[in-house]
Amino acid sequence: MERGKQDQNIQWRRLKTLVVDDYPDFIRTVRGMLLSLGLVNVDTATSGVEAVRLMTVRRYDIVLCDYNLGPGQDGQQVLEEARHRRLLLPTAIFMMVTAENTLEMIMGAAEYEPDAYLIKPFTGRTLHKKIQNLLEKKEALKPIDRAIRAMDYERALGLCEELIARRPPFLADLLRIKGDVLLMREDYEGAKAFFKEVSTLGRLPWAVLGLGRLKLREGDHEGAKRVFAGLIAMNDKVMPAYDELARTMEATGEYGEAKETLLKATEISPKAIKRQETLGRVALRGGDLATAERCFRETVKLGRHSCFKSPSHYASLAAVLTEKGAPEEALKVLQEGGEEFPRDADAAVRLTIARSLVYTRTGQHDKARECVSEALEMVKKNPQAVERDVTLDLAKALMTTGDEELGKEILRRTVQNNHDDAALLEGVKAVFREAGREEEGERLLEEAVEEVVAMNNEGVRLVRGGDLETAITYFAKATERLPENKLVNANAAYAFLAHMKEKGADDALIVKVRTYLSRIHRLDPTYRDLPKLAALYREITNEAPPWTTDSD
Amino acid sequence: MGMVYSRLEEMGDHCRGRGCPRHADLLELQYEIQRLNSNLIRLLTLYKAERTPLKVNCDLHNVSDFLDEVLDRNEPLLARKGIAVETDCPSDLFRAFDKGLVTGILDNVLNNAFRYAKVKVLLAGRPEGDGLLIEVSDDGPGYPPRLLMDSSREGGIAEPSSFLTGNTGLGLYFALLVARAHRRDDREGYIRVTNGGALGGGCFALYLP
Repeated sequence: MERGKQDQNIQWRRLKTLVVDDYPDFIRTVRGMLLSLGLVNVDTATSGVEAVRLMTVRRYDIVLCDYNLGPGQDGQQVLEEARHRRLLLPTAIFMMVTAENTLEMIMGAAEYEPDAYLIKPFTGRTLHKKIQNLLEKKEALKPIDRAIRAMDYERALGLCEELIARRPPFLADLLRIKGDVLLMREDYEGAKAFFKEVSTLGRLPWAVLGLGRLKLREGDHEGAKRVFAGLIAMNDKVMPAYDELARTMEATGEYGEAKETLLKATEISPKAIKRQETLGRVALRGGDLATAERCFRETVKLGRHSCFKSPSHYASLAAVLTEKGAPEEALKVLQEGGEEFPRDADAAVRLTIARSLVYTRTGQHDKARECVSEALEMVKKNPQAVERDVTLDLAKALMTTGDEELGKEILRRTVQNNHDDAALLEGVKAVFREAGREEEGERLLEEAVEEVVAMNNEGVRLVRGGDLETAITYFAKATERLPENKLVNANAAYAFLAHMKEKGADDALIVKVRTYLSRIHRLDPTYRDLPKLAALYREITNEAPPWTTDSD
Repeated sequence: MGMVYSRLEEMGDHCRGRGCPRHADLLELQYEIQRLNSNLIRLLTLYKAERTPLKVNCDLHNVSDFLDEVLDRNEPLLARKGIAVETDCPSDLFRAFDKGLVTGILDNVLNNAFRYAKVKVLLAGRPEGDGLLIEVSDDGPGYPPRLLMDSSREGGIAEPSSFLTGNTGLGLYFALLVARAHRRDDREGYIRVTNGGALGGGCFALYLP
């Protein structure tokens, strides 16, 4: 291999590759190209399902996947499932193969983008260069990626700047990452200056987007709207700009405008399931049942082959159908949902609650009550399998079918576990409001939050007073009472770390801290104090924080 | 069409391998397919541009890598006709532009070179202030006088209507639209079609601010 000799850093023979296409001739051609590049491990698949199955048993370095795979999953859905289920290592390359005329349709369509698009027809030389460039890029970005995952933003920034100074071919990616890191470490002034500086290189959509997001942070909704709208006028395929614009409009109560914005976005990129869902929700809020119905139908349809399929799509569609006076059809949709999610406790609970709401709405209160107690049984039997936002639905159903005390108790628990989550508290208030008991809700909320705050303050007082021994015992108990509360877990982690800083590291205590940190990261990977706790954890244990080790 | 192109390529290789004289015909077919394909894509873009202004989706690109990619796509066909293509561009030149649209322009110019160049084509990129200048020159007979133009100068081009009625060519009309859609501050992109360039033949230049 004379070409292989040029890039000594890449050991082509070792690379494991997967080629996916429903057209055997194409697989044969690409396989031939790869073999002539010196690769020996080349697997092939002719459908998305087969590709995903292979990816679960082998860790590929390179996946070459055609977008159009016939019936079933398309290439984008294969990519989404692979990334979502972490079937690909961070260093792996996913290349999407497309014909030129479909490129526009799929670009930027979803939350996951491939590392590169390959436009048919391509030559062996193009393929060779692309692979080489991408492998070099991934290798160079590895330390930055690792620092970011460990929330060591100082280090990530230093590494970015070091590389930027060398002006490698992937400079554009580096600049973008630097902007992200500045935002992650909450250096908003620095980020603003940086976005303005890179804007002198040309109109870079991500820099404009960043400036808009900063305006939003400053509370300048009108300014943010202008920036996002201006970006779309220039650059109609920057899909996040539509999402941000719509979200800003929604925040200022312009539901009609938000709907129009999302409608345009779904015209350009019709297959993004999350955006369809948001559009459905916004349309519903503005009273446009027809659009809402169409969108939720779309989410159900798109979900069929997607890892983002969700029982809540079926529940939303059923709610709209009930609202428009078609409860029979709503029940049928929920029935279909049940068949789509066999042996899934969370889905079963959601769909059963949705059924109770259909019955309540049509005055069949006995049936509604039956559904609610059924859902309650399921939650009791399998509480871990149920996501936390189900509790709101369940409490709402309980309160509308008459079992108010139990509903209130569930809400109290939810509030105490999430006392600093404004959106969730708003949701709890809404449940009370809809039941016509707004004042009672306010009171419950206030008492529940007060109790948590008092509990926290007591622990913090112990830490500040230097009685760390008592403090860690106190917080160990507190986390048992409120295992899902981020602040309690964060304070517990801090108390344990402070204790070890004084008395030395201790394996038993480290295990506890790891539990607290993992919990916070699972509940909210962007939790404010997480980077600080991670730094302290690193200082005491010399280890990366627990959430980075599983996928490294 | 991509599939037809690949199949023709395989057949061409096969034919040539067995010394069949008709492989040259297959080459012609490949050229026509490529031309048809890029014309269709340009037509689609122009059709959309009729309704709303052409959207430019800029990102920062390494120009040298970009030109290499364009070369890789077009070289095989040219090479088989005995035309050598070279690129000339500083390796650390980065500029923001719409890669898809500019690829469309260059594919078209290089596709024309199949017909008009003799043995050599040069694809060059260099900074022009903080903008970018890309030039495609060949050693052929040059462009016919009616196609010569300089859109940066007042009166430097024929009226746009003649693009659609006359023989000015879809390719150049598309190039002009794309160049002009690239705007920054008060500057806009332009194209220049001249003769007697770097290799003595036709020279197509594209400036992007």
